[in-house]
Amino acid sequence: MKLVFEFTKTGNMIYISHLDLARLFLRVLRMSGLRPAYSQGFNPHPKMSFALPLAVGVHSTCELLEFEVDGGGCHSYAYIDEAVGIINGRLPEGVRVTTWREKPDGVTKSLASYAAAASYEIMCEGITDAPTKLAAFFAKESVMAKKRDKKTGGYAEKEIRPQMLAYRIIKDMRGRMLAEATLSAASEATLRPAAFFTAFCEASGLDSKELSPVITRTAILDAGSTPIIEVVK
Amino acid sequence: MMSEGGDGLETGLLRDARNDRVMIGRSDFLRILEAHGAPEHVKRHCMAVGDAAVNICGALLGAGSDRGRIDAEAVRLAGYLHDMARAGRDHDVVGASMLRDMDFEGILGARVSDGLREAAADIIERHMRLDFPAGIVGVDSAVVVALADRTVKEDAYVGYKARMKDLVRRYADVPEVLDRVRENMDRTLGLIREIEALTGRSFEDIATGGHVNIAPLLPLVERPGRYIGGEMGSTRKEWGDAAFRFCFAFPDLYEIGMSYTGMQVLYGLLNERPDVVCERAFAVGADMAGLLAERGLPLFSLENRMPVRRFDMVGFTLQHELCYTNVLRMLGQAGIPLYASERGDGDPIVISGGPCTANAEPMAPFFDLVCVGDGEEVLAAIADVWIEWSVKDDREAFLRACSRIQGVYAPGFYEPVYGGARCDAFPKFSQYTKKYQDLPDYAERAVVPDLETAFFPVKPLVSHIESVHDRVAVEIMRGCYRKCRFCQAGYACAGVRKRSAERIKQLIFDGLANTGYDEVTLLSLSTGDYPGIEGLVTELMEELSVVDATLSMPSLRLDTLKEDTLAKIAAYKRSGLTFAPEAGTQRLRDAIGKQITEDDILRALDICLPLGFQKFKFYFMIGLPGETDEDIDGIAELAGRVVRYVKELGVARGEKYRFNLNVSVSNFVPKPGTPFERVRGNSEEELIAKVHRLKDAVRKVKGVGFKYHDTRMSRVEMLLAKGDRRVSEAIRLAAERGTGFDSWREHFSYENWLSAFADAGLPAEDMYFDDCEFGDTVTKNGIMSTLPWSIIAQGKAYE
Repeated sequence: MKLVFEFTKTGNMIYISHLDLARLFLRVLRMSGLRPAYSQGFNPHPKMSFALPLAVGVHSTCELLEFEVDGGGCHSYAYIDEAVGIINGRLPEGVRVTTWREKPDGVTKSLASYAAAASYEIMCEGITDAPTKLAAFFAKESVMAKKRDKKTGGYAEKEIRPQMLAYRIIKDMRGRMLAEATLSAASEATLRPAAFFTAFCEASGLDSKELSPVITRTAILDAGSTPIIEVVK
Repeated sequence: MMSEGGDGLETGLLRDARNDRVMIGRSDFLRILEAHGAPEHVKRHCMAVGDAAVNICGALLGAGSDRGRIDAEAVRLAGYLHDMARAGRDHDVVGASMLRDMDFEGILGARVSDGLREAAADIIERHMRLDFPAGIVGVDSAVVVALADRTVKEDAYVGYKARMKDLVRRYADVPEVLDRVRENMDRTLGLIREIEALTGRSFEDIATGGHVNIAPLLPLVERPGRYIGGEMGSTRKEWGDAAFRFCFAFPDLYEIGMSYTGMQVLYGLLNERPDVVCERAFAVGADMAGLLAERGLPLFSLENRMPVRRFDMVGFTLQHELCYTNVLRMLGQAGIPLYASERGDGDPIVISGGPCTANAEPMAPFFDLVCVGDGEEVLAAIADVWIEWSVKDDREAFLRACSRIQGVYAPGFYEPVYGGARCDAFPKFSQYTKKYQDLPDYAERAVVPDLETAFFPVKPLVSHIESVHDRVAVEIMRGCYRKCRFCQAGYACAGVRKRSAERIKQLIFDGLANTGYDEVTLLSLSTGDYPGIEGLVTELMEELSVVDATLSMPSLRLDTLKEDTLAKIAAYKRSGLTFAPEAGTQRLRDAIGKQITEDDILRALDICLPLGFQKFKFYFMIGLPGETDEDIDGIAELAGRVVRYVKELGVARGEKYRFNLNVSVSNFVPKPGTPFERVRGNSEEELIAKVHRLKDAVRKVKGVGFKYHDTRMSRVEMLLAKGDRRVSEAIRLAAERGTGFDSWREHFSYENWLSAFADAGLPAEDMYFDDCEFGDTVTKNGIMSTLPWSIIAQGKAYE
């Protein structure tokens, strides 16, 4: 039996790293009676994975965790509801499982393999005329940004324009930006929201160090822009 | 003191229609905001403004402001909900009408009176277009909420001026708004100054509830998870209600301190008491230290983010000598005077405990009190004195009362006198003079007589970030049957005290249930010596396997374990095994009291190799008393014989064992309280010569790895371990000029320490040793030196 949890990561808990979050879930799952199954082999590891790692410092209302329940058997939905209740009672403030689903047998691929993009709500004070600036930024044909090279570990100027998929103004507010950006999350071309924001500031003549944006991931999308949680409906 | 509302304190009261009182907590406001579809950033902003408004309100009312004009409940309701409609147009008017129509009963099962509802709606309606009054008498509920809103940016307090800068930028092209902002600015600044004068506190202190505002720093530092608190097992209590507030200070990083079981015990023990608040503070990383200094913020506790200096008492644990500089740096960052003699009534009492207090002298001037021996009962007794002491404003009287508790040493009451015997023309310590005649001549160690009934936490703190040991650790035994003559812990602890197997199991399974850990360890100085260890380990491994947990035993004497037990360990622990012969020859092993023979080791290998263990680590020490070149070479020879033995064993049994041996060498540091306390520690040159000799010898043995400990770190450890009170000056200088974190290789600077000793006018030499062999009762010249740490009764007295 495979389960999918949708959960939030907000408040102080945005400062917990991806690995530490995985450790946290392993512990609360153990406490709840919904233990994840472990792989066989010399170094057994839990069959548990997240759809898309979240950068430290970014909020999220839509994180996805999938895992195989230990023992191979099936639990009743009432049992799982109860376990999720225990989990939510144990999790530190800021992390909360909002919904859970059983992953259909027909969905054999991992959720991570569906993740192609993610939407982020960016709220930032001190940016005037955000609609014009964002329109100008997305009108560019080429945007270069410093990105970390996974292989060398160093930073290099890279073209990120193809990874900036879409944006919309959520609310046109004076002196305050509230917009949503959809950025690529494909494995070879992931654009982090912080890197996007820095590039936007650079292109718009803003000093990103002076600004403190609140960034919240609101959806993880597949290649057809469908939220991945729909895949397991 | 912290007012209600700040951070998660569930104390809100709202009147319902029948005039009953209904609690609406902070988390209820979050639910209301969620139910009305407020986006994440709006929720966070509302909560931050609500907290600030409640804090400002509390400070004003506490200072005697007019309760007719300021309605605390309306401020609370309006503050937490003021921007709930911010996602849409005209959010002030819309928000107010949302509140007027709000179905509190449906969302919370609570009713809110019409009067309160209207008062709060009125505040929300006006909060954007409020004209600030010219003086403090004009402050009403709406002004309180507006002040909070004008000083909080998103979810963090930034202050009025910073906030106004944003507004001026935002409305740069709208002159009518700008004029109004500017006109209000002077009036508001005047108002803030009046509030500061009225309350005697800074406005930031008021709005943040006295918390250290580290929220804006968290995105800027490495591993911010170190600073956020709120872990499973942590306790955040209302600060204002406590009769005694204790800050447990760990002089190293969070991820190091979180693995320390002593902290878990004292934290749990103190927080069990409803009248006591115990919070934690750790040394902060260099990046956080820099940011705090830059912004004038003090060292803070994790739970309530309170300045460490606001606690009644701050207790440092001294686990090893190289953390001393961190203690001083933390005191400096906290804004607490370093020297106990400079602290006054507004400052916390600063105390210490832990193994290093066997010689409290080098750090004595920095502590008001030093706890020696088992900490649990002493700390509880000190808390009682604090709470009951009627004249606690008088520090001296409080300290005198505490000095009557067994296990407490008040160093300020004992003045060291130097003179007489000399070391390199430098006067050595001769005696102490007591300040009061009724003081004890020396401090007795505290002893917890019965471990079975002693407190042990079943809901331990679970580190947010991966720490050194992420597992349930249960202390099974205190004290040690063996008396290895170099071991401070073995001598410092009073006789052996044990927990029963039943109690151990209960603590383990409660701990697992409350943490979700999948690993368990048994703590003691020598787990293999626990009576009935075979049975305990066998049963535990079986019972733990049922819940998919494993057992690890760090200080197991493998030579004492039976084959079937080892086989069970081997079934899941394939990593490696460790032996600690400590010395290279049987003669020296006998001399230091290490009861292990070469035969023991070879026999253990006989059993372990077929079980699949491959990696072995042997621990040795160099610089031991009476050591000769033969003993140094003996280490390499023992390694050689072990390698040959394994090969021959393989041939004889027709097996090809995979075998990997690492020799790990540390430097012997004579420690106070041990039979070797009068031994002269090796000089740097001696240690280096021995390391070189050993390195060359081990290199000739094929297939053996070699690791050794930094000689210079050991030298500093030695100088601090055996120092007298004058060494405190060198520690202060080293802390001031260095970077702290001396136990971290990348931070340690020997040059810094040498110059600190030189500038303190002290020789960087072991001063307290006698020219005699171990076991002699008189030296060759007939004079035994008086040891500065004789002021603390050492563990030998309890043998």
